[in-house]
Amino acid sequence: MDVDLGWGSVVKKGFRQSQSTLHTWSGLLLGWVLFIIFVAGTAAYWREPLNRWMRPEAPRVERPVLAMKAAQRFLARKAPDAKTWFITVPTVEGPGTYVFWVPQPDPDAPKGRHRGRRRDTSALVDATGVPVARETRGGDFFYRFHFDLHYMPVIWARWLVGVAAMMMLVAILTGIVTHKKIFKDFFTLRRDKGQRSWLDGHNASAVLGLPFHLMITYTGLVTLATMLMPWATVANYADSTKLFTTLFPTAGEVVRVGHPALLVDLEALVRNGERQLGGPIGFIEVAEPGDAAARITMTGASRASLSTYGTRVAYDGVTGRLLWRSPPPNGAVTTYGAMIGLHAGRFGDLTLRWLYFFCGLGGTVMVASGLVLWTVKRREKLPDPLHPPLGFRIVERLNIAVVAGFPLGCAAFFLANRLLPLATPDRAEREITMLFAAWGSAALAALVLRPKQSWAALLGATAIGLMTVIACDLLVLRPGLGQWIAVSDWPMATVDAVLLVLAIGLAWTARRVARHRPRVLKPRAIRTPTNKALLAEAVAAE
Amino acid sequence: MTVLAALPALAAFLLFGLASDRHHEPRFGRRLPALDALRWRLVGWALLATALVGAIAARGWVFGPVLWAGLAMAGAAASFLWLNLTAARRGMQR
Amino acid sequence: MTVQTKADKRLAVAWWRRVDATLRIVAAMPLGYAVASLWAMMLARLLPLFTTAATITATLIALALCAGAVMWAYATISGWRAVWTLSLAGFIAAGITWMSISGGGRL
Repeated sequence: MDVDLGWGSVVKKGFRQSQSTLHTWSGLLLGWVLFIIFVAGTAAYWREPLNRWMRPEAPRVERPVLAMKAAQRFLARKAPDAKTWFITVPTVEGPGTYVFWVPQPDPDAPKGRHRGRRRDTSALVDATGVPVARETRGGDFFYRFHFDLHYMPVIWARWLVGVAAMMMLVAILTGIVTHKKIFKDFFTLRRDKGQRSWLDGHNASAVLGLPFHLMITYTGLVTLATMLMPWATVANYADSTKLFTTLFPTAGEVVRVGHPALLVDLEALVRNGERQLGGPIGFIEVAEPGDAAARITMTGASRASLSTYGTRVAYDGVTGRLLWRSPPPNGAVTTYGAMIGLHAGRFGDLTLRWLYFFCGLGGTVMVASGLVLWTVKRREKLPDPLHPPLGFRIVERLNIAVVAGFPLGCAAFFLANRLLPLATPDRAEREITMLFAAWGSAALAALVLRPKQSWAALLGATAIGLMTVIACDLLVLRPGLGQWIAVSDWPMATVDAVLLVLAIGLAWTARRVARHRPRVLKPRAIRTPTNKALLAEAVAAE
Repeated sequence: MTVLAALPALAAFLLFGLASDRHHEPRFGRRLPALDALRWRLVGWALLATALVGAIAARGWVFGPVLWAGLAMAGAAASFLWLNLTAARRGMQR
Repeated sequence: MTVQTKADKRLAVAWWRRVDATLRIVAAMPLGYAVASLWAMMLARLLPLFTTAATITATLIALALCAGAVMWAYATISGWRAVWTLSLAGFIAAGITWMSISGGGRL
């Protein structure tokens, strides 16, 4: 379709062509943000196993019920007069029980930031009821990072991630439209053909995982919808809290009576709660523990249902009598919850979790190969390969800095987790600083070295970093990798196995990059023109 | 139980792949006639449907379809890699 | 039209292309988001469902509409057309929403 834009200029337009341009731009502009979201998000599928792996001293949780009782004893010792206890029920996957408490409001304390730091009112209690020694963010870091990023206010980060996710959705939809032979080329992989090989790789990782990519991007937007698209709420509610009380019904506020009473044992109550809700309990909230007005509210575990909006049940904290059940959620709420649940993938058993993980890896490859494809495609068309334009150089260097740099940062994060002494102050934040220090150095290398050198060096360094972590686990850590294999502690050993596979893959890639001999490209001006080109020039010169 | 869903999914995509000219010709020496290719693909679709039934049997009505989607993608990826990497080893890449 | 040199022609085309591209970007992102938001409001009022259900459904649809608006901004013939068609869609939704809210109020 030819379009006259005035001044006699005619532009060849077509739906496919326009969407192809859009695909390139919406994929490229925030592609680097999308890459780190995918890496962190994919790692986050192993959030609890990583939480445990990064705290190797924590004993394995053999009996979650006993661990929970130990946590209750810890809380009774540590915060007997708290206003509320929050207990995340331990699982066999994780390092123990996450507890958090809100102290009684102090009428004399000044208003504002007087609550004290979060870490003073929270703890991770291992299976025996002892706080875990190794201070680290663990797998939670990857989970939080993939939407809150770091070193910036979370609102900014979520807006950036949200916009990136919308551009990703546009990129996926336009990619589908643009891909002419999506069924014919489904199994195509041309090897050693430069740009076409990269295109095939990008297409393969995109198309083979298309249901996942579409789902994860759209549901990702849904998880941020209250911030990104609050307007439907604004249209229907003058007071948006009314919507949230419908979505998250509660049994009402608990008022302290000041009459001490023994808190009922949680174990029996949890069993009752499981019967009531028809599934495992994930979260327990104890309001006014030790008081006669105590109330215990339990929420169903997210691994039991697709919808993350778990049903809840409340008991009297002293007698254990059932007080309240949350009303069954309506269809729209369940749909919404199911979408968030699909994104988080917590409902999955091991098979589903591995499938999610591989799909996430595929998505990471899709984004990375798209970014590299952009440079490969344009390098072949450069009029002067020795002096590429600024835009090209920026993309090329940014690709290396992010695609090779961020994984190096993650390897440094793991290494810091293993090597930093337990008593280091602010240990958790130090590990993260190591991640960004390594990433920053990688970015510097990407800027300074030649692309081929920096790709090979950074990928190789990441491989070495990961192998060092595994070596640490084998030789230095006690109990370490040998012990885990000996007692069949497969969750722990598998993390090292996956890191090993990734390390081998990275090393192989680094080697291929280092040995790559590109076709020698002469500057366009002195390339021998074909007859077609000569003819076209003759016509244009008229 | 999951295996009853995984294997048909893998087989389906292998059939889809082998029915395509690119992968059929180097292995069987000739192009697959269009009608035969259509039959192979129909069997492939039937296998995918079987996989869906198997997945629902394995995980129920809610998680079953999710498992099926995951196994289908895994089957597609495995077929893709298998067909392309074995073609390379036989030196049949175009 | 007076005799134009080839260079003049190329400059004019380049300028026009930039205007067109700019219009499309404006149509896609700020305008596309605005239109999706207005449609979210309109659908939230009009959908024949319970209030919570309508609110949620409208939000889910709006997210997809936003992506669609961006694609439309680039698919349509010119940047100008992208701007006026989306603006029209936005005004219609705004008008209906306003009438609905002044008629029925909000919770």
